[in-house]
Amino acid sequence: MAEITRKICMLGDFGVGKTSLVERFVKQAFSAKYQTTVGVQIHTKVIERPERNLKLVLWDVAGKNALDGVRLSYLQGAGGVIVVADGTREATLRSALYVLMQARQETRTDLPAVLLVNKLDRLNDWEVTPAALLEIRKSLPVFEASALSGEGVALGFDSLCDRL
Amino acid sequence: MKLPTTLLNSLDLLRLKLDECCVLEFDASWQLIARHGNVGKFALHDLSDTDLSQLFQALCMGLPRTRGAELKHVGLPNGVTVDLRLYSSKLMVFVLLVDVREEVEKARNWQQNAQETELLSYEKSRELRRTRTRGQSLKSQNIELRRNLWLAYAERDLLLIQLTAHVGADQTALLELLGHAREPLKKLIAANLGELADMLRLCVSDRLDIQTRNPQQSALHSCLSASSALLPLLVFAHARNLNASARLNLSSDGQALKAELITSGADLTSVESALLWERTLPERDLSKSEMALLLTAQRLEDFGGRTTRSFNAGAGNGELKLTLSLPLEKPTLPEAPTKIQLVVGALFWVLSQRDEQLFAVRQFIQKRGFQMQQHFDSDAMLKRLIASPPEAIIADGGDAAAIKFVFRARSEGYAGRTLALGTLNASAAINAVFDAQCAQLTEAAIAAAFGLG
Repeated sequence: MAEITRKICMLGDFGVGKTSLVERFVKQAFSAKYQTTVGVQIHTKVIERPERNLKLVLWDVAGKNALDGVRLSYLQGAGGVIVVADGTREATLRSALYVLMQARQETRTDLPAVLLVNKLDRLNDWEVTPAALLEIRKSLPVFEASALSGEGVALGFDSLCDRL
Repeated sequence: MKLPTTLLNSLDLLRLKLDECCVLEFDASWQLIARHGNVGKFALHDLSDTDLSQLFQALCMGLPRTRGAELKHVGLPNGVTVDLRLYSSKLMVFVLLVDVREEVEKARNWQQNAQETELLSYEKSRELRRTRTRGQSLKSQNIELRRNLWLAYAERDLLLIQLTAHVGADQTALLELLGHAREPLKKLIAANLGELADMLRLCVSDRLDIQTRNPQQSALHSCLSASSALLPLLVFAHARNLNASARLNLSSDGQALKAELITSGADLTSVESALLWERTLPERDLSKSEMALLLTAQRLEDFGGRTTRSFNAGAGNGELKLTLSLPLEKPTLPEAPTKIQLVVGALFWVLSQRDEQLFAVRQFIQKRGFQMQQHFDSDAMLKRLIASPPEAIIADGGDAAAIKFVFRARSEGYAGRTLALGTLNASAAINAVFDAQCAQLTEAAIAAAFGLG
């Protein structure tokens, strides 16, 4: 079956769970040990579709609250962006929205994007309020997810795939 | 094999030989043409041409071929981390891979430590914020509970007052209202029940001119306006000067309610002072105002409150101000004194002429690094006490002059701790102004009386 390849970049502050979300999505696995990413880590996953399969090349970019020159180079050729925030750290939501804005400015395109707010399993510790997410939802698809339990992860990725 | 000059120049600049890195050669449609250099080092030798084509086409997606491009620190799916450089020559594409695993591992260690520290400090600061919020919440709950308690007391008392006013001669309700009044008081109140009921009836129907200093304290307003603890004070104001408008100013610092009653008229008589602060009953029958003061003192004592007074003779007809401080909770029982914190260097005043008491107190104070000043009753000493109050006053509970001094200190506004030494079967007067009594003159007994354990 014919296959189409798309590059997706995972962006967001450090420690929000970008790598864990990718691991969950690609390998259905989760590691509780925090392992920082240096540079970018490449993963691939083929999504089976009735018409033609979609091969996702996932660029898990090292976390930072802004994109510098090196990170911006990773964005070249990206078909979509998943920005990730940590629900238990309100500041990471602002970082996620900021890097998305930077990415769109840099690529000079309206890059398809979704926001994954991770750590749904620690909902009691959340600093991000439902009201804030409601406001963001007006302009960006938002998914509350947990890399630990897997809840909402596939939904977020599928939503982006539909937009590619 | 012919590698483009730009690529070879880069190798020179990087001081790399071809066998230290790897170059993959693709045609314009990303079909793999050749593998150059040390392919095995990058664990790419096992991958088929098709796999490599697909992988690097995806990796180089969007990168400009003609101008050359570089991607640093790229973690390939096979776990190898490389710096990737793209070169093109005669429609062919060359991908140079430089192994940077060692460099990346060093950076990872440093970055991991820095980020873990930051995450940990964030977690700790959040825990601190939570603890503070919990503390504030508990504090406000505590204040709310205390207010509710006060309101419940006030409602109960009001009900009893109304009951008393209606049934007139029924002693039960009034005696219930007075709670654990001591026996002489109960007898006196019982003897004057009719008159007392009349006064209370007057209180209930009277318009209370209450001003709150802070509009946000409306809860206090409703609580205190119904509180029987203040009603006798208003009776007192009426009984002394029926034309006077009693002003009641209320405030609260969260720990205590403060009520100021200001009436025009003369200063307290010696009998009234003795009733209010010393609970000394005169030989003769009590007047209305004296009865009201007696009730006030009783209620204040029930709630662990204190009274101070000031008299401004220069203000027209004279202005008498009684200030009541009522803790927002039921007082703790005398046998379980509140723990207090005393720092090294804390100053004590000792009022005693007995050597054995002075010796015991000196032992207690000096061993703990506190300071001690020995004083006895005098007007100059009272002024010094008010101007610079000590942490606590320790007085001979069997010496009338010492007790009188403490009474005067209390009435002038001294709000520190007081300890009566060498007292057994303490009188009502001593109970009224001393926070604790200590019968045995040992260090342990003195410390226990101060709640120091």
